[in-house]
This record gives sequence, structure tokens and C-alpha cells, in this order.
Amino acid sequence: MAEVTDELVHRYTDAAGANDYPAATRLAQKAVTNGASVTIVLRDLVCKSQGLVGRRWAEGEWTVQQEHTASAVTSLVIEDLARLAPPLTQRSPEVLVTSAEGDWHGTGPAILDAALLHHGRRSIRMPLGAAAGQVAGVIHDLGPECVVVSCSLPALLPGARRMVVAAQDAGTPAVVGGRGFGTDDRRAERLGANGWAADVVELADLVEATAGFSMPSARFDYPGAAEYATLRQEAGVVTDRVRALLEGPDDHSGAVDAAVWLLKALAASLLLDDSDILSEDVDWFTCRAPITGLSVSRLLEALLHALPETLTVAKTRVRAEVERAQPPTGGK
Amino acid sequence: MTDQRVPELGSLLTQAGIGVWTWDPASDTVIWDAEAERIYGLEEGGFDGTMEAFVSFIHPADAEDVLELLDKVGRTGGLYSVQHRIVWPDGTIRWVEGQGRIETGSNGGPQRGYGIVYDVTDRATLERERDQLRVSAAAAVRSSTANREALDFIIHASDALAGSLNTERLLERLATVMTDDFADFCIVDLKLDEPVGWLMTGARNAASSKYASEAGGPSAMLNARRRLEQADVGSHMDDPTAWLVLDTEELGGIVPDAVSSILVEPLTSRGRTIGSLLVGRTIGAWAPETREILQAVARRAAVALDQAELYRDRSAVADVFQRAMIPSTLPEVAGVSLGVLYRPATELIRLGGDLYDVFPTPAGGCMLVVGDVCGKGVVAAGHAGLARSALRAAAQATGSPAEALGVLNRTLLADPTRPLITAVVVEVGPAEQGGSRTATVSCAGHPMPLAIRKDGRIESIPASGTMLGFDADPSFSSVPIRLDPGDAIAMFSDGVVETRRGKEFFGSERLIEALTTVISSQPSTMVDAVGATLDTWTAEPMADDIVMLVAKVDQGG
Repeated sequence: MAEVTDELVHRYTDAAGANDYPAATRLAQKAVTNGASVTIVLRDLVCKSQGLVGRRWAEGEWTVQQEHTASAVTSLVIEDLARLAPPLTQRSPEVLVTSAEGDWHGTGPAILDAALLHHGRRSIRMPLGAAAGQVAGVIHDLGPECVVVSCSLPALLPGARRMVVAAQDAGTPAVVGGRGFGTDDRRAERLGANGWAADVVELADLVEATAGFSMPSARFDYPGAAEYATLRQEAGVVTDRVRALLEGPDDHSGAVDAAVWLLKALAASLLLDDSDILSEDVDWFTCRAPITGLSVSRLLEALLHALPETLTVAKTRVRAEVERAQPPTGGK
Repeated sequence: MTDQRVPELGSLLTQAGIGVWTWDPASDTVIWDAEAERIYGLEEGGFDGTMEAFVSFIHPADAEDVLELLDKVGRTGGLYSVQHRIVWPDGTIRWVEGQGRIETGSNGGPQRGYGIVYDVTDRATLERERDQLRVSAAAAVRSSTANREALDFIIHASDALAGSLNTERLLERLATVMTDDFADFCIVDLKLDEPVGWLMTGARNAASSKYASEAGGPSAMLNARRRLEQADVGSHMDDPTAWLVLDTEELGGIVPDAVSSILVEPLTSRGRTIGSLLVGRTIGAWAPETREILQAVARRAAVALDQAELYRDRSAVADVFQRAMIPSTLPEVAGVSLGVLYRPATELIRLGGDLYDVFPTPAGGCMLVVGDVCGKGVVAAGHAGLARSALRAAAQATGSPAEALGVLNRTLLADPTRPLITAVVVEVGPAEQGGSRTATVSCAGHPMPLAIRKDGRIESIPASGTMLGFDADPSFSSVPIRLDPGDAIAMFSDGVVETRRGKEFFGSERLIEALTTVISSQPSTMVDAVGATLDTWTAEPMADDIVMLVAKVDQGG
């Protein structure tokens, strides 16, 4: 079994970033010719390359433009890999593939799509930006055996939850995967998903087994879950307050946008009772601070003051981040 | 000697309620003491000492066992102990226990016998009652387990049938549940034109599931249905053998060969039979309560399948509406790439008041339409469908965006239930020298479209005009713009720029900013980027319909 080396991942990523589609797809096809299965190439080359692209952009090595170019090339490469799949039969089971509501990263679903095709599954792919209600309608219309929900960022997990509910309410099991779910099944379980796939290879096996799934029910019996509902309802009011606090003479235009994102991450951390979700995004903004010029502690302070007094769990979470953002003073 | 021993113990034994007897085989006489006579319901001296008299007291149900035992001990000698019922002369039934010894002589035959007898009615009754309780308790446990299992099964089946509004999926679920541990095979047959029955055999093995139509061909399924309809389902319910004849003869190719019993239950909902549920076993018969369970599941299945049918009808209606409002796919226009973002706020039935349309023109260009009907939901969708077809017909007839808007305006004014509609219509002309095209833009109260230049400039196209369905004498300007290869035009509904974040609107500046980052991308990527920006920008759920249509002039080579 041929391995996909880190060197190959770098070469592929360079080609994609340079808008060299022929070179990129040649490298991917070569990995397949050398003996790796398409699913393995999707996992070890395409997914890893996506991670690398994200890092290069986050660290300022690449521009947004380069990131977009790489993604566009990669989606063509994924299409090429999908075309290598054996033809489907009339009776190939159908699987519906969708991103979390509000998750516009198209690469995840495209990869899932290709992998399922290679496992003899017909896939119904929802357009990007589909809402949960739309997905429910399609499930009723087409009756897929299973719904696969991908989520690329933890802050978008509430949108994944809405998709899981849409599937299960329509009597269809929902399997989840993607970077947003982290590295174990904890978040998937909290959301009440029927299964969690660590990667695209695992997903195929999981989908095979969905026939035997029973419907789990997410309990959401921790105080944060109730606060999530309030926060979602009050999002507009909180945003207005955050803006009032952040807008000043020397305001950086991205500050409110960043605070709104942290608000989403906070909401997700409440729904899943997982403070790591907020911490991860705070760390990301902190890492990007040299490029964006944003003061993360200023964002957090604004968010803290904008939150309604009744949201005690939310306030505690943000306060913990404020303290974490300030380096220890060493008892000075 | 024997006679001497009896009086010695007499009073003691009598006090204990124990009677004493002796038997002399030589004369075949039996002697009972007074207590023994009392135990047998006799007056003192009432026993005549014959074996026949003794035997006559033994309860007929126990007589055989007791006499067999006595006969055996009488021949071989030894100890015995026996418990049995006796019948008093007045008919009272009592339980007694007797213990005795038969001694044999040198010739091997019985020499003499003696023993005791006492009344154990109270103890025996208690024992019997206890045994009976045990039996009925066990039965109760068995029956409550069966009830529990039946209930569990019905709940399990209800869960499996809950939620889905898709007929195929429901059929598969139903067949899976029935073959989980209830039946060995199951056929669900709906009275549809296509035989969509589902045969499932071999419990818990998804691989062995298959369409009945595949097992014996569609004709076999239809044939089976006809036979099921001809045979009176109800009258054969309690007679599995009748069905056995039916399946081997008529259901050939569908039902497995080795069938021991079959049950059929009609699926009825809203007062009509929509199909039938057939379950069968290859080994063993059904328990008596099976039919009730099957009926309970069939009722639920029928309602679920009926709802799926209702949904299918409604969904088809919604689809017809939607096809009236928007094209099912974007057409191919030579030399022009297209991308669309369409997100109705009413999600499940996919209907909104926003509409769009694209169609090629005979000249080699295309006509682009984006519109917005005031209001939401089905009513707005109905008007949107109307507006789209009117605009298409008018644009095709006149070839002019402004005139097309005028026609729609007149059509609307003639309709007393008219809504207000805003729209923008763009005619993209044929490719000229160098690949450039001229577009003509007309607008009716709609957000102005954007011209997206290859070099990164994005500007509003200053087309203005009156909202439709409002003014009998409207005016629509016709703004010509030149689109070079790589240039694009973006048309969008107000839902895009009026997406909210608290009191703040997204606005056209942010829209332009979002488009700037994807200026060189394909239109489909451009609209996705706008969608992503909108969702990232606000933390609030979408409130309005959103449509955005981008057309880009392809670059040569």
C-alpha cells in the first residue's frame, strides 16, 4: 500500500496554490496509480492539503486569494477522483450529504461525496448554504438511507445540530464528521448524532452500519443549553451592544465581525457544554492578531459587557477567556 | 402381640389424631381403631373390616395409584407411605396420609400388615393452593412478559414508522421491523401503479432484503395482489392453511417455499384500504395474541404511509410552484457563465416571493430576471410564478427589458388581488468584436444591479424605475453597459443587502467588499462567497428570501 508522504502533500498544495490544476490532479492521480485507494488519497492528500492551506493563510504566508485558488483547484481534483469510482447500479443506496447550516466550506461535502461514490453510494448533495428545513424537505422527497453532516468549524456546530435534528425528525439517521467535531466523538454525541466519523475512510464504514442505528436523543440538560436558546434569540441585541462598545474613533473595522464570530463560538460552547470551542477560536484570533491588529482581550471585554446579566454560564466562560488572554502578572 | 401394642399407644395416638389399623392376610380382614374410623367419617364400630369397604373410601381419581402401590407392597412386603383423597359416606372429600408395613413370611407371601393413618386435608389444601398459585403466578409472569414484549414491539414499530414522510423508506422500515423478530418474511403491498412492495427475509440481514418485484418480477407481485384481493382477507385470517394453499399456488416466486403460516392485515387509513401487510413464518405457528399485535402495527403503518402520500402530493404542488418561479437548472448560454444563490425563508416547502429567470435570446445573448414579490409564503409564490412567466413572455415578444416590465405592470394592474413587485431585467447582447457584449438594464423599484469589472472595480448600474402593480403610467430607464470578457453583472434581491445584525444592515458596501475577494472566480463561487459572508457576518437566523444571480462574460481562449 503506497503511502501519501508529507512531501507529496506539500508539492500538491504548492501546485494548487499556484493555480496549476494539471499538476495538482496529476499528483493526486499518481498517488492512486501507486496503489493508494481513492478514499486514502482523499484523506491523506486532499484533506491534509486543506489543513496546510488553512495554516498558510492563518499564518499570513498566503493571501485570501491564494487560499481561494487552492480550494478551487482542489474541488476540480476531487471531481476527477470521484470519476474514478465504479459505476453505480439502479439499487445503490442513497446518502444525503450536507454541510452544517451556515457552513459554506464546500470542500468537506465534496470529499464526502467522492468517498461515498467509491463505496457504491449514490449521494444527494445539498447546495452550500442549505437550511435545515430545506434538507428536511429533500429527505422526505427522496428518502435517503442516511444523512451525512459535515461541519468545518466548531462555532458552526449549532448549525450541524439543526441538520441532525432535521434528519432524525424525518426518521433518518445522521452521521457527522469534519474538523468542527474535533478529534473524538464527544461533540457528536452531545449533538445527538447517530455516529461520528474520525475521517473520510471511517465514514464509509459508518454509513454501511446506519441501518442498525437507533435514534439517540440529545439531552441538553446542562444550564448552558438553556442559555444557548436565549443567546440565539438575543443575538441582535447583544450584537448592537458589542458594536456600541467597540466602535470608536480608532476602530478597526474587523472588530465587530470578530466579536460576532466569538459570539457564535460562545453559543456553540453553551449548546455543547464545551468551553474548548470558545477557547479554540480565541486562540485562533490571538494567533492571527499580528496580522489583523485586533486586540482579543478588548473583543472579549466587549462581549462580556454586552451579554445579558441572566446568562451566568456564558459570562463565566467569557470571563475565563479574558483571564486566559491576559498573561499572568507574576504577583507584581 | 399386635393387639397388645395397640391399647398401649391408643390414647396417645388418638390425642394426636392418628388412627391405627392392622391387616390379616390369611383372613383378609382389616381392623381399624376408633380414631381411624373417625378419620374416614364413620361412627365408632362403623367399619366392617373388609378390604372392599376400605377400597370404597378411596377417591376414584386416586384409587388406581393407591391400589397399585398396596398391591405391590402386599406381594413383596416392606414400608410404604401414601397420600390420597378419601370420600366420606356423606360425600365429604378429605386428604389422608397413610404409612404402613407389610411383613412377609418364610414362603415369601404377606404374613401381616399394620400402619397408621391421619388426616392431612388442611396441609394438603394449602399445598394444593400453593401449587396452584405457583402455576398461575408462572402463567401471569408468562403473560405479562408476553404483554411487555408485545408492547415493546409495537413501540419499536411506531418509532421506526415515525418521522419519515417518504413512502419507500417507510416500506423498508416496516418490513425491517416485522422481520426483526416477529416474522420470517414480510411483504408490504401498496395499491400503487408500480408494485412497490417490499419483501424482507432473514432477520437483521440487510443484504437479504430486496424488492418483492425483484424476487418474482413485477407481474408476480401484481398477480399476488390480485389473488389477495379476490380471496376475502378477513375470512381467511384465522385459517392459516387457506393462506398456505394460496401462497404456494399463487404467490410463487414471492413467498419463500417453506412457509408454515401467513397472516395478512389490510392497511386502512381515512376509511379506505391503501394496501396490505403480509407476514409469514417458515417454522411454527402464531401465538393467539399475534393478530392483535399485527393489527396495532398495521394501523400505525397505514397512517404513516397515508401521510407520506399526502406529503408527496403537497410536495409535488410545491415543486410545480417552484418550477414556475425559478428554472430547475440554469440554462447553458454560450460565452456566459452563470451562478445563482437562492434561499427562500420558508424552508420546508421551498417557496418564497423571490424569483429569477435566465433564458437565451435568439440573437446569441441571454435575458436575466430577478424579482421580488411583496409578501412571503405560498401566496407570494403564486404571484412570483405568474410574474416570471409574464416577464419571460413579454421579454421574448418585445426583446426589451423596459417594455417587458411595462407589460407585466399592465398585467398586474388588471388584477384586483395584485401584489407589489420589484424586478430587474437585463438583456445581455451577443458577443461583439473581441468578445465584449452590451447589456441593457431596466429596473422597477429593485435594488440596482452591480457591474463587476475584471480589474476589480465594482459599481452600481444606475437604472431606476417604478415599482410594478402600482402606477398606470410607469417609467423605466434603459441603461446600456458594456461588458468586456471577464466582466460580470450581479443582480440581487433586497434580502441580501437588508440582512440584519442587530439594528445594522449588511448593505451594498459590504456586498461589494465580499465580491471583491472573489473577483476572478466563477459566478457559482462568487455567489457562494456572498452567502458565506452573509452567514458569517450575522449571528441571527435568516429572516427574508434571498436571491442573487451573477452572469459573467467568458474570457476567450
